Amino acid sequence: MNVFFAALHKELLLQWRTRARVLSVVVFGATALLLMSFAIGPDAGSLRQYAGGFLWLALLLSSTLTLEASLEAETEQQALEGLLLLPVAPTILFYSKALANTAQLALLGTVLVPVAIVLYGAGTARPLALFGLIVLGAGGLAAPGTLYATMTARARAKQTLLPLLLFPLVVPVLIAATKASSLLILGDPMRQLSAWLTLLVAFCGIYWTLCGLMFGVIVED
Amino acid sequence: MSALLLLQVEAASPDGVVQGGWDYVVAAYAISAAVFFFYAVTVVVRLRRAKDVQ
Amino acid sequence: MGFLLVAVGVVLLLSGSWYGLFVSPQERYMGDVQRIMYVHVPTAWNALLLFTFAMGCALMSLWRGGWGWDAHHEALLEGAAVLSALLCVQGAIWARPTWGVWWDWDPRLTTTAVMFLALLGILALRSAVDDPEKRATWSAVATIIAFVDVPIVYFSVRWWNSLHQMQSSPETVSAPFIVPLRLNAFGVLALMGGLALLRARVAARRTARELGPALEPLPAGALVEAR
Repeated sequence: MNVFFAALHKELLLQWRTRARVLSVVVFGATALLLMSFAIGPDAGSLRQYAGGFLWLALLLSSTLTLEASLEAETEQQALEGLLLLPVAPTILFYSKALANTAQLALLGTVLVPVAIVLYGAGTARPLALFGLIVLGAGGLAAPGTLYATMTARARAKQTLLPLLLFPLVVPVLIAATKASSLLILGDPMRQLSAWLTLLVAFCGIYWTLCGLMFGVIVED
Repeated sequence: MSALLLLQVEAASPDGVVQGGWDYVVAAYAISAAVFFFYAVTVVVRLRRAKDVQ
Repeated sequence: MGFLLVAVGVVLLLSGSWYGLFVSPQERYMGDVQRIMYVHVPTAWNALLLFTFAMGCALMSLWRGGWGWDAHHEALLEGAAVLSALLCVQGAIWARPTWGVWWDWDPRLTTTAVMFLALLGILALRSAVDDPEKRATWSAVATIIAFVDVPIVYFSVRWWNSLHQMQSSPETVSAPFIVPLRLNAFGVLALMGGLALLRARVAARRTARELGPALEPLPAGALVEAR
């Protein structure tokens, strides 16, 4: 367990040291969020209706940048190979990395919420539920995202490859998170929220397990 | 002619049976046959090329 | 073997399509449009079947290793991608006369589109990795992950779309409807299976070339000449 916390500490430290880059990703996400409105037009009612979807699309687009960046440091000086020489199970490396990426994406999502509130009037009466949803959705993006970024960081054409692999895979996350945040913003008279949260939890459960198992396979060679 | 058929299809007969639509059937079979044919050609061409290299 | 299967597939497909187009009676509700189903449904079955086979090869390639599994994995991925692309086109052609739109967010059609994109992603990953060993392992992992995703996508799209009424598929139970379905299903299977065997040979040759002459058996004359 200590090893895990040491690895997690290392990941978070790495992210703290590259915080200037995180800031530029936040700006990217906010810009994307702003641009979405031009696809709909200035009608406040429909903008509010689609705000949940815009938030998740902006987060998804930004996620490829943060995921790529989190693995770039590992490939630059063959740091990953060095890490694997340590007596640490690759699974621990994966979970620390995926957890740090979840934290970063959740932070990004939380920062984008006020932007969505200002631009689209997308306030919610249940901010804590929205925060929990963002953490869950970030977890759903981060687990497969970390695994795929580990592969694509060492392949050619990595900038296009990661979204190509990740986006089809996370369609369920996008659907469930968008639906759930729309319910939180617009009200949930039919009490459907828990069904979408269950789907997200199930997705996270499956992929956090599967990707943890697979990470060892892809790095040991 | 095809526009006429389209109209026919969209205005289904009163008992709910879709009328006509042969255009669509022909299109579906033709496209499927074309895809199978061209995929087969690309595979055979690549196989030939792989043999030549060796 | 590959060419034989392709020939069998062509014969089966020709006879099945002939039966479906000219022998089968009009369906009660869908009329002649129903005949699209005789090529559409076999394509759907085989797209899923080839993806499942690809998943099996991916598992074997990880578990047992061996370049044969990897070559067949690549071939089956490509075949499944071709079939799912064709499936989307056929689905659009079916949707237009029956529901009046080219595209419908029907769970099956949407899942097929997602599956097609996921397969393209894996094929792109394969083409972007130069080291054959990494390519085999990584793409096998990607195939397993994508395979697990397909049912989740299906159910999430179904829930997402649950406000719309579910489109009912026409019943196809009596013999004149089943015969062309079966003929074409085995026809597509034989054709694509045969092509996958041939395509696997292409992949195996490329891998052998990449691994260098180490794998190639030394020609018999070479030793003699060296002496």
